[in-house]
Order: sequence, then C-alpha cells, then structure tokens
Amino acid sequence: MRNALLSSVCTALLLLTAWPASAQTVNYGELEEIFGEPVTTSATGKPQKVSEVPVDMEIITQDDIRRSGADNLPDVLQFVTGLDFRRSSFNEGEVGVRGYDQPWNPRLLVLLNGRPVYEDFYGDVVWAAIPVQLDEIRQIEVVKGPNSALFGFNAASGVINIVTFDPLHDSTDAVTARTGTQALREGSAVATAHVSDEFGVRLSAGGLQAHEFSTRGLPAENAAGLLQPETGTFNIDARWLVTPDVEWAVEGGAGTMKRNFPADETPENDRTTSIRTRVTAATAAGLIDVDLYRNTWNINYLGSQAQQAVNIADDLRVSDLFKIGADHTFRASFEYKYNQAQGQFFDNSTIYYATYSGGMMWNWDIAPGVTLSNALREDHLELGMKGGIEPQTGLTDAEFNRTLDATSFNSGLVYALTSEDVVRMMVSRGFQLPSLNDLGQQIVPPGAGVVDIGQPALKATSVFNVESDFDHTFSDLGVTWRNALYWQHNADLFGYDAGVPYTIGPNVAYQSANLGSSDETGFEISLKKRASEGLRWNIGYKYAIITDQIWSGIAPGAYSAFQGSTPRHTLDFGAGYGLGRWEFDLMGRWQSRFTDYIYTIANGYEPVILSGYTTLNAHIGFKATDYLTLGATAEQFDEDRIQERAGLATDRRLIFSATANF
Amino acid sequence: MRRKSSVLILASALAVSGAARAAPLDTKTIQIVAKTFDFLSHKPAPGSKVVVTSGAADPAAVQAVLSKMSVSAGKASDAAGAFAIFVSSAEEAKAARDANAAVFTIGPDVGCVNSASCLMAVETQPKVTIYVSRAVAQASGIEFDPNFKMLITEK
Repeated sequence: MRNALLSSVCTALLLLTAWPASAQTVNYGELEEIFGEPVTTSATGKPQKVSEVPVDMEIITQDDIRRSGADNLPDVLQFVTGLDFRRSSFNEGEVGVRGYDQPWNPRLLVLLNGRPVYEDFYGDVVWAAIPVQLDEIRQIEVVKGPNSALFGFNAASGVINIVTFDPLHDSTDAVTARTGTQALREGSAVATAHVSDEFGVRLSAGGLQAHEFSTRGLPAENAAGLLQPETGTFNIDARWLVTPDVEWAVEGGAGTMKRNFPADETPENDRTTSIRTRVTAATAAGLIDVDLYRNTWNINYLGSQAQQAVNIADDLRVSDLFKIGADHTFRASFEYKYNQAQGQFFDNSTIYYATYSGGMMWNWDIAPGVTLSNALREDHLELGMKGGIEPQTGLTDAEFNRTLDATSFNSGLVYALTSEDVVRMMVSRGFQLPSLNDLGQQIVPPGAGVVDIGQPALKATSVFNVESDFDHTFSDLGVTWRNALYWQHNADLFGYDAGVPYTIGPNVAYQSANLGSSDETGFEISLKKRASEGLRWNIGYKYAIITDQIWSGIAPGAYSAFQGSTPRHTLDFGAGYGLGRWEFDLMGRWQSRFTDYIYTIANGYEPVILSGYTTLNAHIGFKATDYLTLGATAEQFDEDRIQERAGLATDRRLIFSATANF
Repeated sequence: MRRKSSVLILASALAVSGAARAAPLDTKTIQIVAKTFDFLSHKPAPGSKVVVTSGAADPAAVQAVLSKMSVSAGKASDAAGAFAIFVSSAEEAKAARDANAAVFTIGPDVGCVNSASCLMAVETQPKVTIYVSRAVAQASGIEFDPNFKMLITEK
C-alpha cells in the first residue's frame, strides 16, 4: 500500500513537471510589499491578505521577533493576546491558545512552512527542537480557534505556522551569538545561496548550552537527575523553479535536545529528523500542490523507568486550488498519513495508524467587502498494534483494531462595514487526536512500580467554537483595535494518568481515559500601533472562564482539571521606540492566579495554587554598523524568580547578543 | 427650472470630464503596478516600451520606477509595439487595445476596469486593492500567477 502510494507520488511529480504551467509558491515578501500588509495561507489554504481572512489571526513579523530580544519561540509568543504561556524549564515552555494549557499541550498544531512539527508520540510541541533559527523567520501566523478543516487533527485550539524566508526570493545571511546568565552559550547561522535565478538554497544551524534554572524548593526526587539544557538544530531548504512556473522544494532538518519534563521534571534526550519534498504547479485544473514528508522522533526517556522509542510519521498531502469565475475559489485536498511508534514504551511492539482524509474549501466573494468561506474535512483513522501486547495491561488485539472518524468544519463570514471596520462571524469544529502514547503505551516495570497503560478505545476530543470579531483601524493614528468574543464546547476530553489509579499485582497502574466535557467563554480586546521608527505600543486583555463537566471517578490532575488551570485574566502590554540606530522595547504580561499540579511518585498529582504574577522584559538594540547589531535583553527583570507552574520556577535572564547580517 | 437644468448640465459635464480625465497616478500606484509585472506569466523584457498618455501619470515618474524599460509620453495609438500603456480614460484604453490587442492597459480608476476597457486599476486608499478585468486579460492573452490572482479583485 505504501509502496503504491510512493509510486503514485513519483508519477505525479513527473507529470507535473511535464505539464505547461504558470505558477509558483507564494512570494510572501513581494506580495506584502504590493498590498502593504502580510499575506497568509494559514486560514483557508488560499493566499489572502491578513485583513481579509475568515479566522482570528495574529501575525508576528521578523521585526517583532528581533525587537523582543528573545532567543526562543515561546518567549516571542508569550506576549500575544489570547495565548497562554508557562515556562516549564529553561529549554521548554508550554504555549496554549485560549486556555486549556497543560504540561505537553496537545491542542495546538504548530507548523514549519506548513509541515507539522507537532510530536505525535506524546502529543505536544518541542519548541526547542524545531529546526528553525529566529533570524530566518519571515512571520509567525497565529490562528486562534480550531482549524482542523484545513490542517486535520490537533488544530483543535489553534494553529501556529512559522513561515521562513524563501531562498528563491529572499537573501537571508546572518550569524548571531548570545551569552548571558545561566551560563548561556548560544549561536546560530543562516546562509542563502542563489545559485541561479531558478535555484536557491538556505542553510541554517544553531545550538545552545546553558544551566537549568535553580531547583530551590523542588521535591528532592524531582530535582535529582535534571539535565543541563542543550539544543542543536540544522535545516536545509532548497527551491528550484523547474520551469518558469513549476517549483520543486526539498527540505531537511534535524534537531537534538535535552529537556526536563513539566509536572515531574523527568529528563529526556530527544532527536528528531525530517525530510520533505514538495511540487507546486499550475495546470488547467488549478494550482496543484503535492507535499510529501517524513518526521522521525527518537525518544530517550531518562526517568526512573528508562524507556526508548522511535516514532515515524509519513504524510502525503495533495491539494488543488482553483477559481471558478471571478468570485468563487475552491480548494480540494486529500491526505494520507501513516504514523507508527515502536519501542520500550510499547513493550517493544509497534503501534500504528493510517489516516485517510478528504476536504473541500469554498471561498465566495459575495459582494465588495463581503466574503463567505466554508471548509469541510473528513478524517478516517485505522488503528492497530503489531508484535503482541503485554499481558499484565489487560489490553487485547481486538481493542486496537478499531477505526475513528472525524468531521471537521470551518465557516466564516467577513463583512467590511466600512474601509476601517471589519466584522467576522465564525463557527468551527476541530479535533484533538489522542497521542500514540495515550492510545497504546504498555510500561510495566520488572518489579514494583508505576504501570502506564494506554487506552486504544479513546475518543478524539472535539472542539466546537462560535466566535464574533470586530476590528477597527484608526487610519490616522496607525492603530488597530481588535475584539473577539467566543464560546467553546470541548467534548470527550481525555487525559494521560487521569484515571483513578488501580493495582496490577504489586504495581500502581494509570490508564489514559476520556474524562468528560468542558465549556469556555471568553473575550479578547487589544490595541496595537505598529511603527519601525518612532513610537510603537500595544495593549491586550483576555478574559476566559472555563466550566468542566468531568465524569465522576476521575481524579483531578494536570490533565483532567481545566477550569482552575486557566488564568481568568491575562493582560499583555508593550511599548517601543525606534530612533536611528537605536531600538528600545519594553514588554509585559500579567496573569491572574491558577491551579497547577505537581507529580511525585510518593504522592501522585497534587494541586498547587499559583499566585498571579507580572513578567516584564526589556530590550535595547543598537545597529553599530550596517552589518552589526548588538542587543541586550532583560527577561523578567521585575522578579528574581517566578513560579509560572508547579515545580521548577523561572529565573530572571540577561541575554547579550551580537548579530552580523551580510 | 432653468437654474436646475444648469446645475444638471454642469454636473453632467463634470461627471463626463471626471470619467474622461482622472487625476494622474501617483508614485505609490505606479510602484504597485510595476511590481505586478513580476506576477505575469510572460514577464516584460528589459527595454520593453511603455507609453504614458497625457494626464495618466508623469512619464518621468513612471520611468523612475520602471528604470529598465523605455518609457515615453504618447498617444493611445502609440501602443503599437508597446508592452504597457498608462491611460487616462476608458476611451484611450480601447484605442490603445485597437492599436495593440496584447498591450497591458493601466487605467485611472476601477470604472475603467468595470467597463472592460482597461486591464488593471489600482486603489491605494484606505488599503491596496488591485482590480483586473477578466475579459480584457483574456482578450489580451495576459495571464497572472495563480497565487496572485487569489489576492486581486477580478471583474
């Protein structure tokens, strides 16, 4: 089956390169210059001006990234209105969209140029292992609300697409060195080669070594064995204009990192690789995109019960984007994904699933300023286990031989009331798929200990979202005022270690389980003035109230209690000033109290109420020459330590950087 | 009654003259038009001829933006052999296309596109909107990049 698919892909690639065509992939830079605002494909799959997308989207530009002074993606994202953030350790931070943030947040799909970097094994995003350097990012597109109708499973609470510069159209050549507190030693390099007008390649690499935050106050068992943070990533992105109109891209990436888990600080050493090839061409039938990638994760869990596993995900996506008449755009899509994991987590057996998906998007320009977008997608998943099942788990083959179907949709009406006022009305449903670990882990220690068991019968969580947005632009002031009001219903929530523990022989056993449902109501309001020179500022506020309907018999834990674990109030703010060669920026964030959980072997999950806190960051940039920029950043300068979650506290950081642009 | 008729006549005259003579395109608009050339299936060669009719734009400003092309002031009938022509009215656009069916016609306003006279018109306020006539594009054999076509307003 898989060989047949690969043959089909190769045939399709050959056919595409032979067809007369008149298209290439999106030239973000030039289109932004023309339209005076960023262009995105993350809303519907169709290139759109960000002011016209039928979703709630924020764009973080390269300018924003540089002026944040941050050296990692979560630190950049933490000041976006509507996003939740808690740092777990030096090398790991959890980012959530509109609440439900958890250790290993499984509800947010993160993409690198459209390729998922979401880790299917645990169901999370390992930000530090994403093979991208901050200097090579053109923009980060943040979609708030489900978008599974476009991206499939796990675009449940939102999507973040990291878009890099294009080696065919952009020249990005930069070397950055950073040092600072926590004995930080960090470097990155990005180089672009335009071999010809038709061929460009960009290489990037980066890495860091540092000391973990202070373990003061941690339970002894959690503080023992922590790894010192270490990260290394590499990426190559080559794009070839095969004909004036047909583009072929090849990307490859690798990453390695040492991290300490949230909740119990367990150390883990991960390695990841990816390879991707993509052909985009216009034919008489439309703009056809064939995208094939493989993501590989090597997991080396270094906890008390050391475990290893390998997760390989192969994915083929084919889409056709076409217009009928002047007012109707359609996008038909098909996706096949084969996902498997093998190793000690599964008693050396292999858990796998194949997903077949089909979708259609219809964008209708009803009248000037009025657009209706509808997208529908069906996913069919077939689960299985090869190689036997650990008898003590009580699981059977029959439980693994199951299917799962999910119908997701996005519908959005965009109405430009005036040239400065836009209303968006949206309704959508997305799905969060249980991770491979949730579905099938079988960890049974040789002696007495904790048994972790997956649950192959888990249902996917569905997220139904209804939202109304209003944007107003004060053109004279260059200020954008945004408002969003939403209601969400989350059905069939599930959690790892969420069930009431029971015993198997001498062991205490935990099994993943569906937990119940939960509703969220919230609103966001923000004001932002962008300016590269002079004064820029922003202020945003999010209110969210969550009500759980958790089934009886479920023990509260980090993965099963949401209404207390999301701060009700979050305020973000910032101000900056650009003056010639100098840039001064101040960013802040305040959030109200919430409940988190800490895990110890002795006591299991225990709730910890964390007080509200304020984080203040400051950055100064100085363009010493046309090629050299120096920076100094103080993260959390208002507090020596902040308990952002139960467990390891976040220490103040000072970062000094030098960036050479060629 | 006579006063009302005079007002109507004056208004009609202003409307006609308005339709015939819009304000010359500013530099920002010319720059946007120039960038759209990069999204053509058949991009213009360096040295391609570009004509600017009276009142359509300042020829010097167009030459400054399209530095690799040969820009000259002229009439609609000078479109013969030209890659593009900036016109000040729908009538000029039609005359230019009579002279050269494949010429890229840039009009003063969306009305010129609505009447299927010009290929393209650009608004820059309050935000950039690019209008393209499907009928003129088809008749002129002009094709844009499909991604670009998703971002423009076709008429």
